[in-house]
Amino acid sequence: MKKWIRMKYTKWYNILKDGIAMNNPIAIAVLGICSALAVTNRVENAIAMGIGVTFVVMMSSAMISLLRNYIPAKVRMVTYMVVISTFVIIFQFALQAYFPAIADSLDAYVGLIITNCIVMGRAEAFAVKNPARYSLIDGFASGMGYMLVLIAVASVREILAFGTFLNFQVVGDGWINWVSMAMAPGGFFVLGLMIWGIRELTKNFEGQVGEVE
Amino acid sequence: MSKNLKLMIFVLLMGLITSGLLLGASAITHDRIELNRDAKLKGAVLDGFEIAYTSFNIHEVFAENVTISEIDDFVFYIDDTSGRVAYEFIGGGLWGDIYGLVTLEADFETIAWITILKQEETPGLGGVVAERPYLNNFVGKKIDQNLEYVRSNATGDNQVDMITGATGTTASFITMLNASYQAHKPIWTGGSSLFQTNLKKAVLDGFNIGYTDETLNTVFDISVRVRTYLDKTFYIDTLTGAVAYQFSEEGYGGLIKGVMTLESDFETIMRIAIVEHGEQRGAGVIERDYLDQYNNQKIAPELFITVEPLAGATVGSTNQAMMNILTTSYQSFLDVWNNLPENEEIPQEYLEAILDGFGIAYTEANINDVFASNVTLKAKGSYVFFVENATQRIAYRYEVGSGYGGEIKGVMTLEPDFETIVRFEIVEHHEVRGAGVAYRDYLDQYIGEKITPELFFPIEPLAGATVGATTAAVHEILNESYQAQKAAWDSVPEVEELSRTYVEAILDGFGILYTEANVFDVFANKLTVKNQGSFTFYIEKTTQRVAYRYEVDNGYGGAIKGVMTLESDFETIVRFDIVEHHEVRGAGVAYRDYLDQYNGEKITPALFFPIEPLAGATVGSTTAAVHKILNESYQAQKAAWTALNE
Repeated sequence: MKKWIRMKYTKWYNILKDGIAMNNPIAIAVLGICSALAVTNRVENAIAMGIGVTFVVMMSSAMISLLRNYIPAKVRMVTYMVVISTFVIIFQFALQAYFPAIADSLDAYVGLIITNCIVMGRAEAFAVKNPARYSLIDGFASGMGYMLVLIAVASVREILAFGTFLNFQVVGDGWINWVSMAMAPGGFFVLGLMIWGIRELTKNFEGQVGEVE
Repeated sequence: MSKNLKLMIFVLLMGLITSGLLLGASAITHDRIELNRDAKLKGAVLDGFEIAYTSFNIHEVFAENVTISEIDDFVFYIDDTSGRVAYEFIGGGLWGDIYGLVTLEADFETIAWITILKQEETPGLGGVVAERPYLNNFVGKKIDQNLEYVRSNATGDNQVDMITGATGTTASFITMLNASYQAHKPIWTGGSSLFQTNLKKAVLDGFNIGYTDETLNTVFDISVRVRTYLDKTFYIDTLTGAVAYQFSEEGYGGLIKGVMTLESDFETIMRIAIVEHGEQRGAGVIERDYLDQYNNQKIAPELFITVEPLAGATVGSTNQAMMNILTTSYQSFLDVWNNLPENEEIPQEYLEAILDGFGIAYTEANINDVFASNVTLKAKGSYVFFVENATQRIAYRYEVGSGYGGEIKGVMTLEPDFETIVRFEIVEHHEVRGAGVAYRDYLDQYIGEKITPELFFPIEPLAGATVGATTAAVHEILNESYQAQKAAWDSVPEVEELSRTYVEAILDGFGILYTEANVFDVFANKLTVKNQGSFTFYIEKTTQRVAYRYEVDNGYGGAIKGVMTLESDFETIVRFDIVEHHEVRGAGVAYRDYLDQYNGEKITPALFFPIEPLAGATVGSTTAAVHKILNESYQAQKAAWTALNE
């Protein structure tokens, strides 16, 4: 118990809590919505995308953090882009070489990671100001926060749209698929309702963000 | 300045480091990625052939069971045991290329398996195209009947369900499957384009018809009638009735492919040509010296002749193989040949369209009779013309693939000038917004217009057909098909222009008297003219005796042309007349003294009776030539005559 209380005051615990819950990139910060809408029609897609984003955001945050004292302010953004792209491509290579099956199902989304604002956002908001080990934890936290919301949205959408969860049939034979759930509007509805619910429950409204820190 | 320099150095270093990282990663993974990609294709091929493999032995299993055949840039994967064939396809999907593999049963028609190897469609929507449960819908469908998609409950042999919410992807996927099948089919069945060319050459050589590289296709189209029945294709010389077919059988060292040309009796070998073979020591099999030994031999009932064996071919293996090949292939073609319907079946809707075009009334019951008694068929190579007996109007069928929505087929009826449109009919089309193209209101606008030199006149465009696309396509179709038909029509022998010499010779043969003034009237009154394909018979109304014109170019001195008159039994010679010849020392061949020796002889089964040879004709060459001519032309005419009377 004592250990638990002490842990609550360690920096890494707070970074984790902040990334996953308090400042969840999708539910609270509303970042990376494009890809969240695109891939959440199936849970397996959500998981694959989550892993990809986590890897890329961790690696690029760490690298930018290492370079943070050398990056000229003028080319800051460009540097982030180059670093992020590099890791996305390396990730793609690695998947294709060692996990060809996963690479196939992820193929179209890997490119999308480059344009995911979460990665860029963490680089600008955290990595460029903090040491590498914390940046690594922060990247992991953001990636996990992203992945958890994706999985939650995808679970709803996949069950309604296809009657399956992770490709296993979970509803009876009489089930009629909600076609609209498989399409982008379905994503909007589910994600919108979910964000609304979360904010309502946590009393987290715009203008009161100051409370969190 | 130093700030800028720092910036430059940083950018340069960043560039170097990141590209270094990427190059390194690529170097490490490249081979594995290639191997994976290779394995993916091989895996898809093996899946389709239902051959088990693991990721470790996939390359060995593939090498053991699959034969790769590359023809003209097309790659086919063939299962050695089941005969299934697979090929790759690629085409534009909704977002990006869809690339995959189709496996067909050994019949090259039924889909056994489809795998998508790469696609970029919307995940969960168009992306379903790559999923097994969806692809399983295609198994057992007939791809040769042009696949089509339906909203739900696909039951037809060529129908497949749509993907919910992904009409675009489904449409382009079905289109690319059909298109790639159409591209692969002729290659698979016919071999490479080089092989096709060689095949055509061999056929024409066999018929002794001259051509150049440029005229090859035209000459082939005009002189050769291609008839396919029960998977067997026959090439028929429209003039002589000689028949050629392609054989492809296992020789001693591999497949021997070639062309066999037979006389119209379908028994006597005219010429054999080898187009492709895999012999090595027996490679001489392709030499003319060797092949010509077979000429004039009868292949039925069994080919057995003493040919000079090929020098060097081990134990005459190739030689023996050759005999077997010829006999086996002959037997398989003979059965089909004997059952070959006399005329190609004209589908009911075309019969109707043709009669409509001539304005001839018919009922469903008597349509065939009405057609037979009013319409004469004239064939030139693969072109068939339908001529109305009374008005001499001409109709032909056209079939072009260049409509806006797909193939357009129908019938064009022209005045005897072969220029003015009498009626234009569309029997089959795939237009959607331009569907009005088949309405009579639209089609009747063409009536009375001249189609030559090029159809172009203001016509009301179809309402709704996008930017006149269908209208434009129709014009193009009319012009294109017309040009091809026109060329063939011009080469059809004109019965009408039968020269006076022949008219006289024919009347002489029947012993009908005439004067110089009334010769044509007498001809018209006393005789019936009947056509069968390109053959024309002149029949005397009272005695039913038959005359025909012969024209052969293998006299001793050149072409010999004339008229043969037979009794109604089509066997006994009534009179034999030579109208034109180029004999010099054998010029006496055209004298009545000589010719009358043939009177009363039977020409069948083969003309051979002691006849006084021509005095002075070198070693009886002209006499021999005459006999040959009579027999040869007789056989061709006999076949047509039999057909006519069936």
